[in-house]
Amino acid sequence: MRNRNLYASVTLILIFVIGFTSDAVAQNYSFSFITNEDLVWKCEICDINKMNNLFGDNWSNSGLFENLSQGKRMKWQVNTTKVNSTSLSATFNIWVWKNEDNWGSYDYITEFSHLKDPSQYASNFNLTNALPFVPFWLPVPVSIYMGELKLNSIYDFDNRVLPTINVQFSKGILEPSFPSEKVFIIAIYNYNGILSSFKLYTSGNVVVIDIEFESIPIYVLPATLGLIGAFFIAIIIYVKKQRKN
Amino acid sequence: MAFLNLFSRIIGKLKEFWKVKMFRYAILTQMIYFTLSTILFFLFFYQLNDFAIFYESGRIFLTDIENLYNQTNYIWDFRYFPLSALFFIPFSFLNFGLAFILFNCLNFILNILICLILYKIIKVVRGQDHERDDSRIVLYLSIYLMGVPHILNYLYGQINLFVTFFILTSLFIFLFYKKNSWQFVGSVILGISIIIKPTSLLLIPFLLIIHFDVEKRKLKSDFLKSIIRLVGVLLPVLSNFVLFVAFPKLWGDFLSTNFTGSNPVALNYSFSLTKLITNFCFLFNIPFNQLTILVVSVGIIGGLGFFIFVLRRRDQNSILYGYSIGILIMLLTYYDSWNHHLLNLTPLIIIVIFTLPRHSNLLNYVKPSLFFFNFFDLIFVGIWFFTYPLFPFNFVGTFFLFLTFYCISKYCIMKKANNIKGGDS
Repeated sequence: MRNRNLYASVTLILIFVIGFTSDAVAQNYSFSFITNEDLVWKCEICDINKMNNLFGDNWSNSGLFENLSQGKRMKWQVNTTKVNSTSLSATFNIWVWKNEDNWGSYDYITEFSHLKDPSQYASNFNLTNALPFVPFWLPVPVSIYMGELKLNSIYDFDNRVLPTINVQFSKGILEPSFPSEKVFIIAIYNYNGILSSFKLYTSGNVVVIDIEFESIPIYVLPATLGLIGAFFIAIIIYVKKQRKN
Repeated sequence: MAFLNLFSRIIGKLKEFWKVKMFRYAILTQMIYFTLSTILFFLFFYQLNDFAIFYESGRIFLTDIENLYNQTNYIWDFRYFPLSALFFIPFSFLNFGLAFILFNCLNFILNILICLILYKIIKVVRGQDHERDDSRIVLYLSIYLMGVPHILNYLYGQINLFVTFFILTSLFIFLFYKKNSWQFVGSVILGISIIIKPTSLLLIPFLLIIHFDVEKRKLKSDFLKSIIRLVGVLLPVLSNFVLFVAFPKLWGDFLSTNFTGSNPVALNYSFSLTKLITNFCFLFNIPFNQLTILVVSVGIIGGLGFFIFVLRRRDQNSILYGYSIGILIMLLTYYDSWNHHLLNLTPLIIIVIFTLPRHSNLLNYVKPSLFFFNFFDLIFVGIWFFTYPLFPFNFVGTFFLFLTFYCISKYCIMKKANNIKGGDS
């Protein structure tokens, strides 16, 4: 009996000690990709007229949306990755949006970096100087990184189910006439921190741009078919069994 | 003295339950859930849980109430009525880790109290053809306690058990105390549950004592009792509007967070019909208005549920069926219906099982639903993560919600229970 009380006390003390100290545990963030890995995105929807109307005619002249239109693909190839005391940075060979299957030689080499400690971003920090206004990759574990980010209030991070960045631009917030109406962005990341879905839409959820990460994990199709198949088989077996009884 | 007497009766009853092996296993399972979630909380979910939001809301309510719905203050959106934050003020004075443990201790105690109320209700409402001893009741109480949704409820530091406790307490009062004063008390208690979490909001229409007798083609209603109940339930809910009037920013932020913001659009594994529809629209880039989808879903399913409730052919325990239909409508129609919300539904299903005829065919629908919600739903949440890029629909839970809805509706409107194998109870 005395031993049992002792164990219980020790367990409780341990729980409380962990409780008081766990704030101090630091998270190490890293890259999920390796050198020479290819990342390809496909543009499923691009309403060019609407984009011209929202952001002016120059929105696709430069940056990551250069030459963007429906059906085109963009490829990033990981060139180098670098970690220093304050940041994680990666250099990518980038092939901008094109229709051809043959990629040819890359168009740009670009470096993207993120602070190692996401809480160090200034509270008014934002990514609104160029489309797409959200990063194409984030350090992993992405949910925790996102949870620590405290950006400008137009950004809303939701890491509850899928790591998601919601952005809301009110009319004229970027320039006096742009965007010409309220614009929303939902950017969903996979657990490797890669942008898996980007949707830019206007009120009423009218999608103007839809970009999807091209490679779906190999298990998705069999898992989906298995789920639907198993559900219907279970229903049929159950109904037959009930009829017999 | 009365409190001591009640306490000793509770202990006595628990000692009786303890003699049943299954109940001992159930308590052990609860202990495992509690310990497991505490460990996981400290190791992985320290700031990634719902309790962090409640804890913060208590602090903000005291210090900066105008920014209660400023979502930059929280890891995830705070979406409840402003007065719910009052409840968390005591916890916000404590260290976060300690507050979490104390809150979950309270959750554990609530589970025991829920079992006791369930026991009391079932003892009285169970059908004549059910076993007279208590072993089957204790078995179902144990099944409730073993429910997998408790894991996420503990892990996230969720408040569903408070809602369930208040729902069952009000149900208990409505079933056993017929005086108008008690009707008022019962509905105020339901109102408090809505303040804590609006899951029980759609129970309000079912407080109306209204019944259309199809045979006699006559509408019967108890106007006075209905009004007393409505006033009772709306009093706590409307008291939030004092805050909304005093701080107009709160009202706009509350509406945006709950109905029109980005949150209802986000892709997730909610098993509500509304979420299945919004996920479908999201996947196929179909323009939609989330509020319209919500209103139409509530209109159709809620309207159907209320219609069935009014046309019911049996008056006995009608409030129980009203509550069950109300929670089912909520789970089917609000955007986010997650595994731990099922803790509001499963106790009601257990009571319904005891009111149905012992060998009714309807049990073939409702029992599998109970077992699905209690043990298997969480598996399908896991499966959703494997299928979502292609098929973001957690539809199996929705199917069982509809099955339960069908079962209860059928029992309510069946002409005579001789159509149901086993006869009426």
